[in-house]
Amino acid sequence: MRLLIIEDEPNLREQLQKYLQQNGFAVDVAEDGEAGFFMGREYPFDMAIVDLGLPKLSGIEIIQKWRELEKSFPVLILTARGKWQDKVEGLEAGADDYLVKPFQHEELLARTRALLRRSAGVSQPVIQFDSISINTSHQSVSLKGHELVLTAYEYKVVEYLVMNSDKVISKTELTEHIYDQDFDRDSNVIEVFVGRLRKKLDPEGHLKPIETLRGRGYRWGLTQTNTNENDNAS
Amino acid sequence: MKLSIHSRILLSAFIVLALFMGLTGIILDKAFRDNVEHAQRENLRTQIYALLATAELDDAEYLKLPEQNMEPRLNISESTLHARVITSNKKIVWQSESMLNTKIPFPDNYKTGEFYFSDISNNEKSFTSVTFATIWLTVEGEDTYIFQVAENKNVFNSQISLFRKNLWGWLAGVSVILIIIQTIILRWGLKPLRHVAEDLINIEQGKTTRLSGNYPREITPLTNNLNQLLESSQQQLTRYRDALGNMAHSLKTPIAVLQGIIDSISGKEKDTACEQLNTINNIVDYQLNRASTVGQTYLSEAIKLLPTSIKIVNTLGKVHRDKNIEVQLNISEEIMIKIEQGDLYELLGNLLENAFKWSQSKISISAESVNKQTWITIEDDGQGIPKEEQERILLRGQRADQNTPGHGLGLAMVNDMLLLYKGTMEIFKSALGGAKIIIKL
Repeated sequence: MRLLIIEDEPNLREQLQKYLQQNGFAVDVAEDGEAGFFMGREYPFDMAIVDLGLPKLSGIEIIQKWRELEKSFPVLILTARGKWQDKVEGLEAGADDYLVKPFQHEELLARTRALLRRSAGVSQPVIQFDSISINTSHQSVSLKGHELVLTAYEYKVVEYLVMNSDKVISKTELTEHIYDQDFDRDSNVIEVFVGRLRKKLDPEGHLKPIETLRGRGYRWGLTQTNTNENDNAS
Repeated sequence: MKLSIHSRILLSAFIVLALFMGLTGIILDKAFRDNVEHAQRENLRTQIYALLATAELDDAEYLKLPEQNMEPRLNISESTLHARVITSNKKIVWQSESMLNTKIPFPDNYKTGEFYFSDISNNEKSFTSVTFATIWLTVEGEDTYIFQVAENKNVFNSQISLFRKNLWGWLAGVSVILIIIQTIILRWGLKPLRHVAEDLINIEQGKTTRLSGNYPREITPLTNNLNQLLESSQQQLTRYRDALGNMAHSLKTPIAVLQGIIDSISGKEKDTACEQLNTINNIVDYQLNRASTVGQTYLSEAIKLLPTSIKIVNTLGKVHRDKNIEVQLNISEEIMIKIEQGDLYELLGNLLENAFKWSQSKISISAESVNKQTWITIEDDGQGIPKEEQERILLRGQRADQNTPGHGLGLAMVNDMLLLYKGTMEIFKSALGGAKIIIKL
């Protein structure tokens, strides 16, 4: 999942970028409102974390402009003042959640994951597909109750396919969403990841979790089997 | 309550008018009375002259007057005019027909050659009389004859009372007309002031934000200054809040950075550092919130409760979408509340955030107007607030930043804010199962 952080304070920006990268996200950053708005408009992010008090263009203006351009990715706003009028204006402008500074990083991570799950139409952190279980909180995948050993990028591919299970995902799209802007990309690597994942997820070859649609891309081929409504992580 | 300007002017105008009309009435009454009295005396004097003119000595040197007089009233027995001529030893020389049935106590005083007027009465009637004594030269010497004429005072009195009736009637009529005109002029003259008062009420009720309308030049400086005052206090408030916002931003962001650093370390120090940072953050939150609360101000506008409530419920509903909370909002469109807009956001935001945080599936928000107060009730089906925590929250004067997080800080801030508005907060157990908070403002 690829995130955009717009925060003008360099220390906080770096901290958040590093922390979220450590937790399996591809993270791009912007230091002012204009740059942030531009990036959100041009690149395919899955979510944005936007500080409200930004130079050049305020957080609320950025969100309004994105929504006018029909950019529908979830937005989490960060507010220093914690004033209710700011929170209401932010959410009316199109944000989905708010966090008041200072916040614990775990809180930010939990809110980020909850928003991503919600935008994918998944309400709980553990998603079950037959014998395959994906825990989005722990970023782990189990097969018949045994946890699989996946690399960070392998997990990112599984998570993106699962979160967009109703769509066909091209190799380019997958690349864009699992790598951040600064990464040297090679779309052939995706084929390698998918090949390895098929072996790990479906060693016997009868589940077929990842379908290949020739010339178009990949699609998650399984249907969710758990319907637990409780969402403990949010 | 002090009398209004309108009543003061009207009352003083009424008193002045009553005094003026009273004095005018008395003076006119006296003047008329004197005039009528003078006319009556002139008339009596004329009667004397007429009698003198018809009197003459007969052959026996006795004074004689004709049986039928020139003045017809003297020839009628039931007349109001009476006359007689007597000698100095009271022997009647002549008397009019009208004297036959009436006994008139003519005065004995006289001075020859002078008219002597006096008011006299018998048991039944009052008269004005004139006595004139004259000396008649005869062959044998001279005789003194006394001419006396009296007129019934009823004539005079009825003239006076008719005049009085007319006079006071007219004066009363004119007074009423003057008071009506005065009232109309006053209402017209004071209309701009009434307009100012109406505008101020409208500002207080939130219907307008400034004094509008075309005022006369005498009060334009007042209304312009009031408008400037209203605008400048609003601008000052905005500037002040912006400054606080900037300060919050410049304080909170470094605290957030510190929080990040603390999150990345481990061990015993992490807990201590976390605790200290939390205390700093709570103090900053509490003091900024306190500083930015406007509180009760004169000429503060009343605002509608419903729109802000809907906005906050929508915001929190969006954030807590996964909980599928059913919110019952029973607030009538008409309910107004006298609170600054930013303060209302903080008040409802803090209360409803708690409700959404602790609620399982149901929240009820209602408001009613009770004795010029607005009562807002917020209930949830969460776990409720323990008794000890309720007491700590409601303990006024205790610094909210010393409260532990949870229900504590937000509700204590609300309680603190209510102190500035002379409002109250009460905490109960809700029928829904959780907390029931009643705000009276």
